[in-house]
Amino acid sequence: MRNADRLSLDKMGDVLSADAHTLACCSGGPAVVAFDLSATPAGRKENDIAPGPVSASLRTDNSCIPDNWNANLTRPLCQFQQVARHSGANPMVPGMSLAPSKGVRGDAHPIPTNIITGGDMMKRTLTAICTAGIALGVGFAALDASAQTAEDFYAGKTIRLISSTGAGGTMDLYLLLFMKYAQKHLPAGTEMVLEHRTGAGGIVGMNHMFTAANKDGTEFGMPTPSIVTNTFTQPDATRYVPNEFTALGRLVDLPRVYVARADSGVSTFEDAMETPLSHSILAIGTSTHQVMAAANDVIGTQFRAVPGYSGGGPAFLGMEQGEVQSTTAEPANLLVNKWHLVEDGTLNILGWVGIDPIDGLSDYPSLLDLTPDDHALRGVVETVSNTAAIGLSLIMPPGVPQERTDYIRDLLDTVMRDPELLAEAAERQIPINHATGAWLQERLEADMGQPEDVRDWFLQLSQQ
Amino acid sequence: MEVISQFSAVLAGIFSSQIILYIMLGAVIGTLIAVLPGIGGLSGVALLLPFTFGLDPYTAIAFLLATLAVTSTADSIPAILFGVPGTPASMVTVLDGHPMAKRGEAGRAMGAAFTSSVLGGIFGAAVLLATIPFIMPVMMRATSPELLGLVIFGLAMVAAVSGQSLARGIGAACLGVLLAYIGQDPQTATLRWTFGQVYLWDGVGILLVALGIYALPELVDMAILNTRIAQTEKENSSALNGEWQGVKDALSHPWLMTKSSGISAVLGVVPAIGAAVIPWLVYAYVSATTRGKSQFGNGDVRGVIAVESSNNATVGGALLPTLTFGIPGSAPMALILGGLLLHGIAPGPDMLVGKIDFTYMMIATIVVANIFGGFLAFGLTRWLAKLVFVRSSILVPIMLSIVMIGAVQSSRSWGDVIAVILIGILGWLMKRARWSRAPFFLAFILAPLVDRYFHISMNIHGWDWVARPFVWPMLVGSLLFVVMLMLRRFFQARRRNEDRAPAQWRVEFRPSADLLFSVGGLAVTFAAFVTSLAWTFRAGILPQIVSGLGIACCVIALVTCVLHRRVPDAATATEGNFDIETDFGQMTQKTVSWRAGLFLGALCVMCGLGWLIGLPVALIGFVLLAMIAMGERPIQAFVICVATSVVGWALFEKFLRLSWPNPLYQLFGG
Repeated sequence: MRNADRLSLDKMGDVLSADAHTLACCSGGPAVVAFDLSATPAGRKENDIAPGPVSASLRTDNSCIPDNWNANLTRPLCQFQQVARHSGANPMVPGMSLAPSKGVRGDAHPIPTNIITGGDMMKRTLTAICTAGIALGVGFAALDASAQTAEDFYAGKTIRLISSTGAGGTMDLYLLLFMKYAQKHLPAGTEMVLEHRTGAGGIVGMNHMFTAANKDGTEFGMPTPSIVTNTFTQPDATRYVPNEFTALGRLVDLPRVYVARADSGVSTFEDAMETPLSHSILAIGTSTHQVMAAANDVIGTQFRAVPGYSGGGPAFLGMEQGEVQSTTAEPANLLVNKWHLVEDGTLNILGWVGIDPIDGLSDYPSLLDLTPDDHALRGVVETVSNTAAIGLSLIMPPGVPQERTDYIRDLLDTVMRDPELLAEAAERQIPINHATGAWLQERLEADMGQPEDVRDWFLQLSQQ
Repeated sequence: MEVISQFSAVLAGIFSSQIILYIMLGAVIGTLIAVLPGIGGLSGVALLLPFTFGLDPYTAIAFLLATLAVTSTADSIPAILFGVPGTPASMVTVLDGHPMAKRGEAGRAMGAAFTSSVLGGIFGAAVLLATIPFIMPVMMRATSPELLGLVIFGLAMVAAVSGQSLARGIGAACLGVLLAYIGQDPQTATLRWTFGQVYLWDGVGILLVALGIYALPELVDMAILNTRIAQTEKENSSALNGEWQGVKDALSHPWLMTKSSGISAVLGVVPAIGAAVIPWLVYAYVSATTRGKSQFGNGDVRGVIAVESSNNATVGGALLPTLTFGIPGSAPMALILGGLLLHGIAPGPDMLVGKIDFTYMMIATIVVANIFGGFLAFGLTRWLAKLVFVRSSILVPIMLSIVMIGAVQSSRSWGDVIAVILIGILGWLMKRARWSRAPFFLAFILAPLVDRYFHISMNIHGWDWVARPFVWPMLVGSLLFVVMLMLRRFFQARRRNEDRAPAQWRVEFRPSADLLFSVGGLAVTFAAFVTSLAWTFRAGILPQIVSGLGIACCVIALVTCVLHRRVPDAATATEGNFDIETDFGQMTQKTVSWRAGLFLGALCVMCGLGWLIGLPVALIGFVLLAMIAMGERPIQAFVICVATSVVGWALFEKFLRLSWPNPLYQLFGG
């Protein structure tokens, strides 16, 4: 009676006493009946988030359990936001499966039908357990066992991390760093593999995560920073709703820095309002174009787009060669690899776009600060800045049991604060700027809440 | 001299540390996975990247680079044996290597391939060492117009590999360009021919085209013939002798090797044109400039030597822009760049000054890995060369499964499966109709580059880009090359016909693959032209020009199909078609078409089934049924199928951890 020991019956009140009695008598058949409703992470109640699901496990003193059942077997009892449906794909017990499907808020607890072999008694028992679960969950919303059961779930599983851009890129860098240290904190035998689902500027990967990926918590991944703006520019192709993903947290932000060649005579944004500059971007409508156009439309710079560069590197090289006069750069790359060009006076830094100040570039203005609060396109600058701030983050497909998303959120927080990871990142000059899942969720909500004219601005830009 | 002493110190350092062990390990892994078409090379390095995390930067990069460097040695094994390129870099090896294998000279072809791979790789590294002082200034001057000039020069080479009929060659190139235009246009964000599929936004993957255009048609033909690859047993008893003959062949062409690896190392420095393009250019150049009797495209060992010394040499060249600018010189180099960043090594000019030791170490790794790779490949040959004597009924289903698994590594979606089959059908038709596939593929790779650099150049310079110092000589050179080639052909043809009776023309309708393909090509290019009219001027102008040219070429091809020039004693062309051909012997056209339809139909059914129940299961089912259908005894087929499934499961699922496109039941059941 591993978990049930911690169940404090006296708090349940009269309504539940009968059910608790039933529970205590339950030793008449093979079933998962042990459960713990006593606690949930303290933060959850304060944040007013619904309590997590409750799982039942096998009682060790139940003599009716067949020998071939896994001793660690657990079954979701009360999912609250999930409905369990048969998927035929759960390997824990041969021929048995319960996997939560995409959540419908307000749906009741699952009935794990194919576990029941003990007749009416069992049905009553399970009903009782679930009733008790709901009552307890709603009543106390203070459970602690979810982390442990999630850990049980992940033990021995293979977690697939989806990368939505090509192999070997910056995204891989961060995913591999995360994987290396996550391994330390995951249960023994749990493996992580990296999987690339690339295409259409990350839309393929995000569509996959929303529609096709496993919704049991074993698949999550990294969208492109443009997770929200993609839905503005490509409403037909995006088959996901950004704020319906569960945000797990951010590893680093990806602000962009406006740079211009010194021989163009431009050294500030003000100069750039007077002097037209050719400006290298990737494809029309993509984030480098958005960042450029937002500056033009809001503060009046006169950048002229030269599209067609195949990546950030070639776009920067084009400016370095003198082919174009300006571009935007990733600060990490600029500060580490290209700073000599700023020091020897070849390049001038005009400003940057993003939310968090950038170490080493604090003297330069941000586009958001330069935008008046009442500017008609303030929302555009906010969205562009948010996109930079979202940077490289992790998201979980919708419909994953809350306890597992919480577990992975906690994992990400722990990993990104791991002193060893921070030391290694510092040594390898890999910037880290961790933010929590709650923060990230807010960004997604904020961008999705932008009015129609902001969405239109993005759409127009991609339809030139 | 200082360079040499520093370099040898680094080389000695490698041998006295654990790095050498990792180079050996990388060479072994690289060799083994490069043999699997589609899985080696790019995906191979991508799969290994996570494993390097625990290593120190030097060891990790050496490990990755060693894996990559040997890939273009070992990938010629499937290219020669089955006509199935292991990676896009070995596509050209197929042209001469596979016909040699069919003649029973697989050992010789592989001996020549490996020797020239090793020497080409080493020589390429040497060229690199010598050019390091000039690299930075050259790179800084290589702006979009210069790159455009270079790419146009590459396109001119299309003419050299277009086979007997220039119209068909250019027509095929136009089809390749149109295929490359599928996807989102970076200039206008117009979605060109994506048919509402997000999958097509980024265009069709190069790996899929490489596998579809060469690998699938070869497997289909093998299935139709249903015999063994090597028709003669000539080499069976003396595989080793064959290899030695190949080594001797390679060593007796030192100038050819020097030339092609030198050019390739220098061209490899240019970003964007990597190991998939350069061997073509070298091959086109070598075949066009070789005097005397040659059998290029028909099993000429010199073709193998030129190409194999070329593709290994590009690795070193592609390394430099990666190191100095952080701009990968080729697709696999992007992964090495990832490795560098992962280990905190910032690319920049300092790599050639302060951190020159690291650069030397990487070049030394290429040299050492190439030598290991050569020995390993020779070791494998002894075993693998015997595969050409295995019955098609066993080989084809298994090879086809590997190709399909390789194909889905492109983006792990059903789109990959559909694309590779469609391109495979196109490739088979082109092969039957004798429309050379070389210009098709070359144009497919180069067209997007032309598009990109042309628009950037026009945006910045207007038409002035044409007059830039490096650009106009390239353009004039391209023009001269094409004119020279056409004149030479014209005079050759005249010389051939001189002593013969004057030709008679007559119109004759005869259903043939050529006729069918010409009509189909005309329909496609016409449809492309019409649909592209709906786009804005900037998005549509190049597709319209290309499809217009395609229409013209298809019309000419159609006319030559119908209007037969009857030359008295049928003067067959002496010039190669730059394409491998299958001799179906006594088989009638009807039988060939029937069997091809049956095989491709079964493939489609298999993929449809895969969509329902998952690709791995469907592939196993396909292997079993295809073996039985092709005449294996059921029990034997079952045993082989179970054995290969177990090996495949261990390799793909457990070791490489490949992922699969989601089948239908998971989409709706989960």
